[in-house]
Amino acid sequence: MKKFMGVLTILSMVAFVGCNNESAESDTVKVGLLHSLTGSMAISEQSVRDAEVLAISEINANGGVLGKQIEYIEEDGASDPSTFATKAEKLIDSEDVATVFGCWTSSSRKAVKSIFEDYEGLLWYPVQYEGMEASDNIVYTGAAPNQQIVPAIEYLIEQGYEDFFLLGSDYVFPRTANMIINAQIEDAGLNIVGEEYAGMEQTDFAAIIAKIEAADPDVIINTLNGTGNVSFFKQISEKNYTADDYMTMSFSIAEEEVATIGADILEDHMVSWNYYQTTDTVQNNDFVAAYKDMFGANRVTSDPAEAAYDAVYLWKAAVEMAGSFEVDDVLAAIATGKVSFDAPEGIVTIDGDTQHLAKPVRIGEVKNDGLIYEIFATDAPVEPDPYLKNYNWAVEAGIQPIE
Amino acid sequence: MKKHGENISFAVIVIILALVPLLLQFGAISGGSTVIFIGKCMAYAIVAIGIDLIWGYTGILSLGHGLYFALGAYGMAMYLKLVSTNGQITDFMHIGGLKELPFIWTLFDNLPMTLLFMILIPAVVAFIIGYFIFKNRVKGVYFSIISQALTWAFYSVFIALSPYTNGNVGITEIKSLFGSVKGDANRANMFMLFYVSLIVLILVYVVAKFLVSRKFGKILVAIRDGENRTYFSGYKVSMYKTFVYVLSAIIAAIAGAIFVNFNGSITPSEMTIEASIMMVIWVAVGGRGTIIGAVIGAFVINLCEYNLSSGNLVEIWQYIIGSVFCLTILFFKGGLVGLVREQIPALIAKFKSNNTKNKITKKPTVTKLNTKKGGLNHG
Repeated sequence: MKKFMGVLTILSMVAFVGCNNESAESDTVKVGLLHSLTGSMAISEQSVRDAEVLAISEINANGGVLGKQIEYIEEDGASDPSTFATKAEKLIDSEDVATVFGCWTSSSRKAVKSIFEDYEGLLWYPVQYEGMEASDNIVYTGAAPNQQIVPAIEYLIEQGYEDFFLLGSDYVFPRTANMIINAQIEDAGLNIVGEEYAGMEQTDFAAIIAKIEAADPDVIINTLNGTGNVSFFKQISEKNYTADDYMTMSFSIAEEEVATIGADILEDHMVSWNYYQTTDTVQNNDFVAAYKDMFGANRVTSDPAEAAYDAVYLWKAAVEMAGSFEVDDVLAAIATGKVSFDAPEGIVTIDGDTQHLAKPVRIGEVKNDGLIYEIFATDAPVEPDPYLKNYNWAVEAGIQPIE
Repeated sequence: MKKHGENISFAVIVIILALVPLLLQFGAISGGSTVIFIGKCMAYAIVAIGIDLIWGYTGILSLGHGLYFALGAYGMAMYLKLVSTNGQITDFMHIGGLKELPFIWTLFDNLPMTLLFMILIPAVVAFIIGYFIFKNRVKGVYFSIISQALTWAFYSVFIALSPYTNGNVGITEIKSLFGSVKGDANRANMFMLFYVSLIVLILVYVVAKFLVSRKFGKILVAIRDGENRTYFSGYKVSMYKTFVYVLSAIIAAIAGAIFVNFNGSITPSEMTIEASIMMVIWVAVGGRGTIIGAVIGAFVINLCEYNLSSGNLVEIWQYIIGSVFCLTILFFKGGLVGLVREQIPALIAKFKSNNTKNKITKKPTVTKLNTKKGGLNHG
């Protein structure tokens, strides 16, 4: 054994010489795209991947970044967190990419987080999520809870809703979101009349609908994800319930999901995001037109797709500010808090401390044309607060992580 | 030479694996991540050996070995997580409303206990399941269905008990037993882990080879080829089956523990039916009923996946893997090993006999092959 250890040590010591420092001056810069292109998440992640490809091709057509064309290397996460981990490692370490745009689910992000930290890579994560995280090696371009969940509940409280029913899929985002909502509602002195979780693959919602009927809430806060949404809304509409009977506020239903579930079923229900396809800005008109032009007229844009599109442009802005593709330099540029982009949703700026975006919040209502229309928006971009440190009720409820 | 072909092939694989870290040091491999991936493949090869013992040799098709793989992986991951939190409760327990470390976690707060329970828990689960199933002489497809259902049940429990298991996010952000293995600065740790895993792979191979080359192995094959005859010959078939099932569960658990060291996270997706079936596919493609086949299959399929699922093939790679599997089942029942050992020699023999147009017709060739096979079976 001792001998073996000796051999090992020698093997390890032998050659730290062969470190390859071949920073060959090429006219392209490599970036990685890491999404699920197969498996259950492929349907959702395709739109995000497409938005990133659109941004990359636009940037390339306009001269690239620091004079270099962007070359993207695509890896399939296959809807499996361990595969995401393996592929993230491959992209950063073997392919030596400048940065990675990727992930959708919280489980895939959590699986790659420590890899980006250990290899000192940089990940751009484009989806709204549950917060309670701020890695130095991840830029979060989707909403933090205080840019989606908290303002939506505030809006509902203002509108006079009093009895809330929490319904979600059984995983980390709904669980954390509901922990936040519980604290917020309790602070407002209102009532949670029920809290239910459905399995990820659950398709029968009869029992849950019965509980909703018994609890008789004013509004259902819906954090179901994926196929659960389709089954739940179909079954609730089969009982002839509309938004007048049970209003819902959803955090995971964007334009793509409306198309899957059916606009007639979702009509007049509310959602909360930072961006809709109908958002009225010049940048958005261009973005929607370019997206449809590249991927087909029947495709719709959505909040995650827009956030992914922004991510690529924000990376470009950060690289140009840093004058370098090195992760350390790019992070230093981001830390100034001055990296911003005139995005389809409005001007977004990366907060230097948390590496989340300051972004506007929009409450929307689904209409029967399958699009979502804004019914309320914040006047200015909302500063990110992933740990909800600036909310007394959140601090008092002790929802911050302990580590 | 032919008799030892399997061991020689394994020796070649071991030598190649042992050289991998050196190749990295001398720049022949582009990054440490490749070595880490090959480390994961070694874990897959170990679980494949376990599945080969139970499926290839004993003829019991288990579609639920992902469960034992994950149980071992979770055991190790819980220990490694407690190392990183200094024995304090984790974030997900906090979110789940737990105030102190749950009992099940306290079993894994030091390494000896972890190594014990990491193996003991899967072994006990496998024993309970195996004992009752095999005692009641449940066989064939019914066993496969039960093994799937069991995996599904455990999967659901792991998702539902999120304060204890972190649901479908699983246990993340952990380092290996030897510290972080990522990046150039931690190469010594990574090599350490790599060689330790290689030794475990060798040990598991040797144990499996030892078992199947003894009388025990012949009884397993006898159970596979004629269970009733074996039973009426006075062998306690259910005892043998239970033993092999428990053994393969333990091997799977060891593989899981190695995997998590390389991967740095473990999620319930490793214990899905899908993941379990993948493991069976490795064995089928490599060649079941030969230990080396399991090892080769695990490496070949995973390396293919790793390299195919990117770039231009990113959207069709699953079709490629799928067709390889279908072709194997249809035309190469013995997998890659069978191809090399039987089909190619048969082809060459056929070619020769046609070429020389001697008195040797096809018939003797076939008989020759048959006797060879028979000779193997009867030892």
